[in-house]
Amino acid sequence: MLEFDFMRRTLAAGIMLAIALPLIGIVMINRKTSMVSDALSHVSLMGVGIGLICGFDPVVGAVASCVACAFFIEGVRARMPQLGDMSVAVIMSAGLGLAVILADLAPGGNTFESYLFGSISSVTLVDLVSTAVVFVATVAVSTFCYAGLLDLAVDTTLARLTGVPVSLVNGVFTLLTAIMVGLACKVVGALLVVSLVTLPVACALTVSRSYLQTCVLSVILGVVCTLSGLAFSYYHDVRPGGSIVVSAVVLILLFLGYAHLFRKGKAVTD
Amino acid sequence: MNVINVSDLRFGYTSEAVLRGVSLSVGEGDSCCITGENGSGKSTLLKVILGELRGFTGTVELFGCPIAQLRDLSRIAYVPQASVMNKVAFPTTCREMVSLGLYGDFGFVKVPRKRHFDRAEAALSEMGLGRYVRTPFNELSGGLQQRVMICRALVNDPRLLVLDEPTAGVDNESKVRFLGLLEQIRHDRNITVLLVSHELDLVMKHMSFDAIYRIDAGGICRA
Repeated sequence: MLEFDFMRRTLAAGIMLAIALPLIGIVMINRKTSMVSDALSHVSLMGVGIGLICGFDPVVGAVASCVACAFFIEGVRARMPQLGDMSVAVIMSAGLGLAVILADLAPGGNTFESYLFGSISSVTLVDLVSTAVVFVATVAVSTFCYAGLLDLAVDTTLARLTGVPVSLVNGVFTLLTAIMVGLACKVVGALLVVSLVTLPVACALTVSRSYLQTCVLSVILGVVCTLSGLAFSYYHDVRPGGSIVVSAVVLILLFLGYAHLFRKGKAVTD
Repeated sequence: MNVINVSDLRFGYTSEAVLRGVSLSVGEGDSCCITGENGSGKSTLLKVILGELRGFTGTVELFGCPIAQLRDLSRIAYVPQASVMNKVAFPTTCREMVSLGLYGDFGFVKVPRKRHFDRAEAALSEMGLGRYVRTPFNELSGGLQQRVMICRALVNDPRLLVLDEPTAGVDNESKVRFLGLLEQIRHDRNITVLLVSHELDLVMKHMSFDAIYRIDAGGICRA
């Protein structure tokens, strides 16, 4: 399958997403905000619709709408923590509702549909370059802010008193999450992005014994299920988003089975 | 010089004040307990003192510096409520957790290195927790978790240790052990301690304080 240009582009973009999305997912799951990525992926469809109707790159629309809504959600969560969940639900509903209307108005039903479930052949060179830029930024932030992101997941007050620039780290992380989710809707599909954010991390959490182990294992599993999903998609002519998610689900079942058989969870007392 | 100086503090989440005319001071090396019923404003006062809440009137100073202008927070260590730490559901080893207390020493790339893990392991061993160095924090009992958090708080040699209901939700045996440990640390390190607890009787039995304040309906008085 590597003889085709489009396939090489898709694989390259897929691998970058498979590394970056679980890195984002670790932080989101630890902070119990993984549904934010789901809300953003729905919102990205609204941006896709606007892009298709107005005649500019739908991915630009997806990214822009994700960034705006991500900061809105973060703003509500920071000012009114008790309403954080509600703001996620409101944004998700609003995004999806508008996306449905825009889908009817957008030209070429198939084009819109390809952003719902991903498309193996639609990744352009521009998509690849923009994904590469955000990929490098995500890996860099995950490394440079490694301890800060971990500490923020433990407790915000603790993190601030330890010296973590809470607002800056939160802001950068929110921006990268929004951009990455917006970009991912083309390959993985907007409705399935959250799977690549959460499932590899969920697998890793069942067996990991440290934060570093969780990070490394999540990335490896993300790459494994993305590559196997894309290969399956190519050889069996099915949507890549679906095949990536199914391979991730198979992995999580295997990991849960292993954890059930060989891991006994009990509180350690003195 | 007072480590903590609060004078005529007034604060409210809405137009109604939660804290009214609160004044207290804690000197260098002193230990202070703030007590009161649930919902009396203890944790709110703590959040104001730690700079988490703004929009108050009055004076709040740490180490002689108004809290809003305090940039160097490395002298302050904080142990959150046990219920907060119970919510840490992801695997992070005790040495990873303790090494986070050395954040200021990580350099430009904020990743703990071997020397930080060595210091974290030494701190854990000193506290009798050497065998839990690689144990995931989320697998520990509440009492052990709080002892690990004390390790984390002390690993950077702070001058002020602030604890917010550290024993709430922890079994009695662990409470006694924790408070005994805290008293020993206070004596050994001559560190200033500010403890917030609603369990005054228990705390008094195992620790001695230079000052005890009681918060009631937003006002404060020396107990």
